[in-house]
Amino acid sequence: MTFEEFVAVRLGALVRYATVVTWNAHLAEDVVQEVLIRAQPRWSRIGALEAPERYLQRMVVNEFLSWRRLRASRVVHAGDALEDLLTPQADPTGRFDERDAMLRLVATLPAKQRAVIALRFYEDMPVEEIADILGCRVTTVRTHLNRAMAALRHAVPNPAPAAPVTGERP
Amino acid sequence: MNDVERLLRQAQQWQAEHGPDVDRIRRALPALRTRRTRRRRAGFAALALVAVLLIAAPALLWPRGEQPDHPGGRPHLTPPAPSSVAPTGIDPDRIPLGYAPTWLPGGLHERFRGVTRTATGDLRIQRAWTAHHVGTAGGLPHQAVTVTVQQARNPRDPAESAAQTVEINGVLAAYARDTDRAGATVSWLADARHIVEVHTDISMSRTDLLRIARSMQVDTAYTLPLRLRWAPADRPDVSYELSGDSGTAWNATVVLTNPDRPDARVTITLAPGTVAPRDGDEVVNVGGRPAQLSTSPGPDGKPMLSLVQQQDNSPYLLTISCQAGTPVTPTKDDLIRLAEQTASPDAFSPDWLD
Repeated sequence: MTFEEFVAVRLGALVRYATVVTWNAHLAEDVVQEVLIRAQPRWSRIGALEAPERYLQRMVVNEFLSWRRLRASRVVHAGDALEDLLTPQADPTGRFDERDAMLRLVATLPAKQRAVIALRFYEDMPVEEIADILGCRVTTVRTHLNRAMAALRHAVPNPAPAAPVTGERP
Repeated sequence: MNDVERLLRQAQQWQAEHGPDVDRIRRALPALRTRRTRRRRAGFAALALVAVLLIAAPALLWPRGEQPDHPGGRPHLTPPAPSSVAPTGIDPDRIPLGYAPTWLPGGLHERFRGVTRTATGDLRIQRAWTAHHVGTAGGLPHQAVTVTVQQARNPRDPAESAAQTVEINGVLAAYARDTDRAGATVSWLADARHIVEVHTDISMSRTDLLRIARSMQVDTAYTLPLRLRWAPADRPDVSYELSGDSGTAWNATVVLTNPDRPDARVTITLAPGTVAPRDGDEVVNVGGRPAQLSTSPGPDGKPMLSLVQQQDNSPYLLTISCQAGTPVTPTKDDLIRLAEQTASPDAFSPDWLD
């Protein structure tokens, strides 16, 4: 697959993935553009890999977590301490308030925790693979995961009952 | 799946569907690429200009008129160095550091910094972190994590010929385990002119080694306590090293070599101790103070000519040594001149060793 073919076929999925990792559409656009510009000159080697898309996903995470991006990643809902966010109030369906609250809550998580939950729940990666992508120990990934989930559980103690799942993963 | 996880997955799906416009990103790519190429070329041009200025600056700041006269009237082993004077081509007040890891396994401390400049102008910067004390004998320590930054005009991408590659911050890198030891090396082309290599001969996991490599960031510069105002021109390669365990116990060494003549190596060391005899064969006058000149077997068994001088109000000794009895052995006057033209500050305490 050439670089142009990859962009034509998989750019949408890569952008959606970057949006979940960064939790910020503008930052996701910036990160994806940066990654593609850096990947293109090396595409002869990247394209020959077994899973070039996985390689680019790794580049997206690294770019997001790199020191150049830390400042940008912090400005997502900066100042919203987790404990300051209100537990969603009941509404006729309950689900929209909960989702909005969850969107805001995830934005307050540290960048690495946000990346870990994106890889774990959006990409459904096992923790071993996440550790490899982030270049850290499996225990470190588990720690990030546990802390993120504990923070979310603390802020959303009693979510509404599960609704039927609609829509498929893109 | 619990309810929080379900909510989280739903929020992630919603977030994914509300990302930026994919077509806009696709359309913007060619223009971004062009802009990036232009910026990179401008950056290279600026770097080249800075490099030219750095090379020219010592010659401008250290005019020929300040070159000291030869003390003994005997011929030098080479003609006096041109006014360049930073005769070594390296400014001891701004030794480049290249890159530094921002993450290391616990218990490791930086114990060594060194820079080598070859006659062709290429630079090699080395830094080492160990868990043990290294003393004041100098030299690159073993059982260490070592970071080497190689600056060259046309560096070869290590990943191109690597049997195994890994990804370091978006760049393909070569990864290799040492065949005879527990160590491993990862190296990559950090930019158009620099190869970064992280090596460990401490037993550590591949994940930790890659994490060190991925944490690498550009670092600035540091100062060395030895300043050479003159150096023989037939030893064009120079190395500066500083190592130790604390800001008050260190070894600073300058090595002048000729790649074609291994026996031309001259070592200038400032340290609390010396491998040369303290009670020399002859007392000579160096800048109005006594120094010991002697010939004795060196660490490799070959005869070594050395000059040792105790520093004023300091436990540190200046030692200049070289192989004795070769066609390129410096004369006594050359050693005296080197000692006189080697300056060190009264007080020096590198904080990075603490």
